[in-house]
Amino acid sequence: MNRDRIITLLFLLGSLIYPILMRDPYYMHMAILIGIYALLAISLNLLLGYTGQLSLGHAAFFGVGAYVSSLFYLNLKIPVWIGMVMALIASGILGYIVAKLAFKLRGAYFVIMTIGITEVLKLVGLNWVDLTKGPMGLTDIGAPTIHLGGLGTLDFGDKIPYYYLVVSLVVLCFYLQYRLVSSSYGRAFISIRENEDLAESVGINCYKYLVIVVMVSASIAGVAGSLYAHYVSFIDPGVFAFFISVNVVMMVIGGGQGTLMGPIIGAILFTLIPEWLRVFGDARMAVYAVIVIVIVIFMPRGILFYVTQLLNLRKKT
Amino acid sequence: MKKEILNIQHLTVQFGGLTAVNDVSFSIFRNEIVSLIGPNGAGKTTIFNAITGFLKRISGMIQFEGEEVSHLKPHQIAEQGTVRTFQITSLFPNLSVLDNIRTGHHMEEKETFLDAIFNTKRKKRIEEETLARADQILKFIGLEGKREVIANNLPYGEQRLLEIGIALAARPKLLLLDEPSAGLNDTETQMMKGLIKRMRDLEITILLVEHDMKLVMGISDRILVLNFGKKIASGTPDEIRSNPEVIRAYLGERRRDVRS
Amino acid sequence: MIFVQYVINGIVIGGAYALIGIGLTMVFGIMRVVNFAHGEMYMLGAYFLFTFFTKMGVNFYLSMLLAIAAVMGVGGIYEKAILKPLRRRSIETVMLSMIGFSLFIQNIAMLIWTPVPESITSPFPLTAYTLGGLYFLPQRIMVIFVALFLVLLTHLLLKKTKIGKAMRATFQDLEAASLMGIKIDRIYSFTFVIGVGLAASAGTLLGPIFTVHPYIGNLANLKAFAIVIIGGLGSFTGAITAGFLLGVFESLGAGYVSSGYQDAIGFILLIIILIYRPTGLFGKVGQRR
Repeated sequence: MNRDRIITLLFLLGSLIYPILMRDPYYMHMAILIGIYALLAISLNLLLGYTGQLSLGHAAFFGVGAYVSSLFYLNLKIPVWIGMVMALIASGILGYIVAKLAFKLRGAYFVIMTIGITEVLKLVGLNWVDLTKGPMGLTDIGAPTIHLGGLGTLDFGDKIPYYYLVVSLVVLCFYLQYRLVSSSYGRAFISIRENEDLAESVGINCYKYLVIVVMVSASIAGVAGSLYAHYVSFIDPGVFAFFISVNVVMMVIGGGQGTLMGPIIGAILFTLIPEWLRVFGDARMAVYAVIVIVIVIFMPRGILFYVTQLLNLRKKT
Repeated sequence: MKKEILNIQHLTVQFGGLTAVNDVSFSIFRNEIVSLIGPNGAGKTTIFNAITGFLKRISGMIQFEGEEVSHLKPHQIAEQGTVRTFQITSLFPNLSVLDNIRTGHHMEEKETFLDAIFNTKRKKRIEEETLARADQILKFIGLEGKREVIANNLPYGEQRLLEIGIALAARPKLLLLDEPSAGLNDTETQMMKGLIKRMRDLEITILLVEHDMKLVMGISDRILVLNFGKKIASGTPDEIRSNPEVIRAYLGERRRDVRS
Repeated sequence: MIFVQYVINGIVIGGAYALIGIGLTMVFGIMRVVNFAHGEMYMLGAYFLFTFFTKMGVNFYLSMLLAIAAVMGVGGIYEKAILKPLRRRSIETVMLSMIGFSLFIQNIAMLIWTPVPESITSPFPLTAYTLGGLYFLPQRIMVIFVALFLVLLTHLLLKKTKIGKAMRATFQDLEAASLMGIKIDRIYSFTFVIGVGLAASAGTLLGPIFTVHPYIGNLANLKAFAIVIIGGLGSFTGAITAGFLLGVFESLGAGYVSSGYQDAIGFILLIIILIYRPTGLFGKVGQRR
């Protein structure tokens, strides 16, 4: 049982017993948000960490997931679970479209394309008032329930059940990430990041794998969006905010891109950091910007990597 | 009767106003070792790029084993059986030597998406086969002791060997080597020469671009000479050695290009 | 008739767009830097004009000059202190750090000038001239004249001056230019300063027309990128064409379709170009697959 597996298991255990130790609703709230963001981070990690494509438009999939799920619930009065599946499918389709539109683009062009798509979606959200109620947003988005016949109803409207719902999805997606990465799919993804021409020359259809990774990534992000909508019960075009896209990128980079636990650690850090920065009042975002700059320039392999480097140095002296 | 594996007819490649390859035609037969030589800028790598699908606009015909392939994408060319190496060292830099070669084996790994997610028996079997094949190749190229080393950290000569290992993992019928001995010292070049011969023994047809004349003369069945995008000569090493046009083409260029 | 009015309004805004676009395409093309903070220079241009003209009462034209100069100063420091050390880093690192800096500049601006939107009252009379049923606001007439003047100035700079030739050489072939003795560092600094100066000038021109707040740089930035990509990276003509095109299309779109989706027009054009001709209208199409 190597060190990485032990750490992963500890995290798992910790997250399972967390609600028993932390009963304060604020800590539960933070934990749920961290879980939702962890899904987003895992999804972006597949795209950025493994295939090496930087996207600054992940809020697009998150937002579409949130809206699709909410609209199905509010307009069609169907169970939340179906709405969530719809969100997964809708984001997946959007991912497919994005991949097809952007498949020739790399680097800066791809980034700008992703930003552009998200901005268009945000404007649609603001202006298609008949569907999305524009800036007023959608309200009263209920939480999922499971009807257990004679045994009663499991209502996920409370924090603790919702927390376990989120955790189980995070575990599921973490496992999915792990399995994908340690397969030939994973090797193909990584080859795109490492040397695309070489990959093509040994028969790897980079376009096909990019489409796959974007679709999987988008679908997971869509589920995250759906979970978010049914938790906070109110969404507006702010779900397409540039800040969300940037923050998710920071989670992946800060946590360690291209690693399995990286997105989890990044999600914890970058859900909490914006909260902790509230002490700075109006200067909050300015400090956040400084953190972005410091990590991107000085810690591109993730905070943990450099922290352990520092600790190793201490040990040697 | 020698079987033709590659047939190029009237290949022309233009970059803007510049004609990099001008109406070049030649054939490669099974199990041959053919060298493509010529001064810098003669169009040799461009021909490689054209054959392996890396160029969009080319005119002429490229046939592999009788089938027209000039419109295919690079990965499809590889599926047909043509694999290339690159002029500039081209590896998967942050992966281990083993993973580099495993990645080259990709085409053989026919696992589905569901195989990957559910870690089926089939996937495990494919993993084992891939590992076995990778180890086989490592032994063949002489890097079995460097299995876990990160590719970026290998010395230059071993990086060039790894490049060939990656190409071999893709089970090529036709292998295009772009300046395999570039930057290698005499000992390493001798090893490369031996490696190329052993690959021919595996029934791989080899077409190489080279500047090292000793290597070219010592290993080639046939030599094709290019200058300014045009084929100016084709024949056995003896024929080429004494061809006046070839000599003129090289003497017209700076002498340091010709290492012999 | 109203169609022509829309077109005219579009040309006015398009002129300012062309300025931002030229500034960014020069930086993008010559320095190969993806400067996401370009829009913030536009914002600072508007704010400096506000400070000099509205708050300090300096003459309007002088305020414009001072504002542009101030932003050029900021840009010069920015280039030396930040862009130069980042030159060897990957494009992702540069992009993300530029985003970080743009966020930083936005929020510093917010702390200095407060997030309350300000307006710069135009020193021109507010009554429009009419000519054949068309309305021409004096402020907007000034915008188009100044924009065209600056475009012409930049064109002359690039085509006729020694440093302009050096800039074009650097754009075409960095290695050759440096081998010929061109001091690349100086060219980069100069290019960047001119680039942000153009963005700032657009800010001073559009500032009195629209409100000024710390986040106007965001939209300006995205539109600048759209313009540069639609026109073709590094293409002066492309940036001008795309700038005017965008201005006109936005105006027509807002007039005939809906003003809410106005800002989407640039993105949609951008997406279309990225799909069908990523090198832009005036960019060169490559040979590589």
